[in-house]
Amino acid sequence: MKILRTRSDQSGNVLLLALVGTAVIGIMLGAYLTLVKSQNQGVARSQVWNSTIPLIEAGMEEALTHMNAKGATNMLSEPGWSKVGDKYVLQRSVGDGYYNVCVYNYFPGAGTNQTPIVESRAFITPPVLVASADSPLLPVIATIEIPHRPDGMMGRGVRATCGMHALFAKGLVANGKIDMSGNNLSTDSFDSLDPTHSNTNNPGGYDVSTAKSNGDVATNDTVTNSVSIGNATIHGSVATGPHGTVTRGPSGSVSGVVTDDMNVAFDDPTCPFTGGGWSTPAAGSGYTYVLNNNIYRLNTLAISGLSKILVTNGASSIWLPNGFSLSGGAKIDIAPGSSLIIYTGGAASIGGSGVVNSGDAASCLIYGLSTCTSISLSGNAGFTGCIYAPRADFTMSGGGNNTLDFIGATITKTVKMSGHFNVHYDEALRKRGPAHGFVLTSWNEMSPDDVNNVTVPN
Amino acid sequence: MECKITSGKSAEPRRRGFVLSELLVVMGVSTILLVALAAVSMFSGRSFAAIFNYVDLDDANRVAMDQLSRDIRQANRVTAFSTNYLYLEDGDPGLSAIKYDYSPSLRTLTRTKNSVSKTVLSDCDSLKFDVCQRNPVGGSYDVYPVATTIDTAKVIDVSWVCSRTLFGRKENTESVQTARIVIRKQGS
Repeated sequence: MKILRTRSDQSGNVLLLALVGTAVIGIMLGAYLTLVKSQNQGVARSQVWNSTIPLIEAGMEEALTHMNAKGATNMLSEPGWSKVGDKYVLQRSVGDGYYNVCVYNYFPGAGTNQTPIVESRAFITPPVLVASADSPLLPVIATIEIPHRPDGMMGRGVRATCGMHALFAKGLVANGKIDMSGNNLSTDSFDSLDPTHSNTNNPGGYDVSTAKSNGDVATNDTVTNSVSIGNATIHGSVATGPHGTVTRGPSGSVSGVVTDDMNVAFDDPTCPFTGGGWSTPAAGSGYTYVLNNNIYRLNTLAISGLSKILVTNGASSIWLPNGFSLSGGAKIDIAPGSSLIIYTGGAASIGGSGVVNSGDAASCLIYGLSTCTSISLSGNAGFTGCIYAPRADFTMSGGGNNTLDFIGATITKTVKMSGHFNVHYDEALRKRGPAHGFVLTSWNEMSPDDVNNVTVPN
Repeated sequence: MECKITSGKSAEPRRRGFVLSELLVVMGVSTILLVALAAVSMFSGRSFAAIFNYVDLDDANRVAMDQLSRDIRQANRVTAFSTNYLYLEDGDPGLSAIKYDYSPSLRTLTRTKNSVSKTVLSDCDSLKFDVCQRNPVGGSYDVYPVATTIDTAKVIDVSWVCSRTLFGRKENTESVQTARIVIRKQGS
């Protein structure tokens, strides 16, 4: 018997088609997944990259705060800080990461005339989306191949240079209104540390021929007419608080710019020796009191006539809880090479022959404590010094028919100038005057190699 | 013995052509399948291209934002600005100038430093710089007054919208949220 069978050779085509179709779909799926993985990695990297900035800033803030407080004299005064070589280092964990901050080129106790460098690095563990990079599971879709350190963390760092933020950074500064309604008023600047911008015949002194145009006037006030220039000549800029305005008379002028972004907090000063250790000044030959390189306290100081006070043999400070006044021909003589700091808790009236300061403006500092609400300058002599009294109304009414020089800087609650004054801001106060503390003067991101060069605290 | 099969069935199957109705059915089914396949292919291809477009655009935007943020953060100050350009003084020792210029016609944002120009953003439909002062508006949260001069410029708001065309149509328009970047330098 012969049986005939039907041939079915078409079935191979179906298999081939299925294989090809599967391959095409597989390739497309692979491409999709690779693309999605790439996008996922990009987003994850970006999230981590950007989340390092708050950590870096936290490290920077901690370092600056420490340097401006306890670290000013001892960087190791707070737990966590250690010294490695010439660097002060702190490392602190925050959330999924940590910051490492180190300070160098800084010498605690050496004052603020330094330029410390702060390096703040932040390290954060990248998020694990599905599995770790080493996982054998689904390596195509699961791994996060973000460049990172051997410990699996992403790092980023900033190197910042710090500089002193001077307390007296401008000439005439107030929290409130500044009224320059007097006659023959002007402001300008000079630099007692720069021979080219000071008096060659009187080194460190003011000379109109070498004066500069940084006699700035500034207020935090935010109201209309925050600064009334009147007919004054401002060789500098004028700043007010937000929405504050500046008015000027027909002869008034401002050589610089007028801005309205002033926003500075002035803390009340404190007398550092209220707890004791002070002496009562004694009289000297021809002087009512002689301040001789020491700290003093007087309940009230009121001298008149030809009474005089001598400050000699170095730096002296005096605490006057109830204020002081000079009238008639009274004066305070600050001998060359000496300096005086007055902490006044009450009203201060500087009349008579005023304060005779043969040194620079930083040699005579008057701090108005929180209870000092008034300071007046009404004598017939100039004044070389600085006044910091954020709660005091400051009036300058002296001068008579003469125009007097006010050399230095002031920070008070308000300013009213009704006399004849030329205000000469000494730019050297930015270098050798009192300081607010350190601020950032530069901000630069580090290279990846620098970021990985971490100083590990002890 | 000889057997003779008398049935009508032949050992060789008889081949017949399609009748018209069969042909129409086959053509119809085939057409539907082909159209479906073409549609799926086109949709997939378009979708893939769109996703690729988005990923590429997103990457480019991210790189541009990183670069711009870094430059602004470490700048000394703003030297000139408008809504479509921002010039900075870099904090490097040479105080070199960094210029960001947006060209609406070319749809590009260009960065120039030391006379070297580089396009950091392309396919940019709109871009705007808003420059603000350092002080917040009183009684508000996170609102800063607009700076009218470079002397008060401190906070930079930037926003842009990028898009690309795919087969003649705009696809995957990406609107970048406003980034607010603050110049970090405080003292002189």
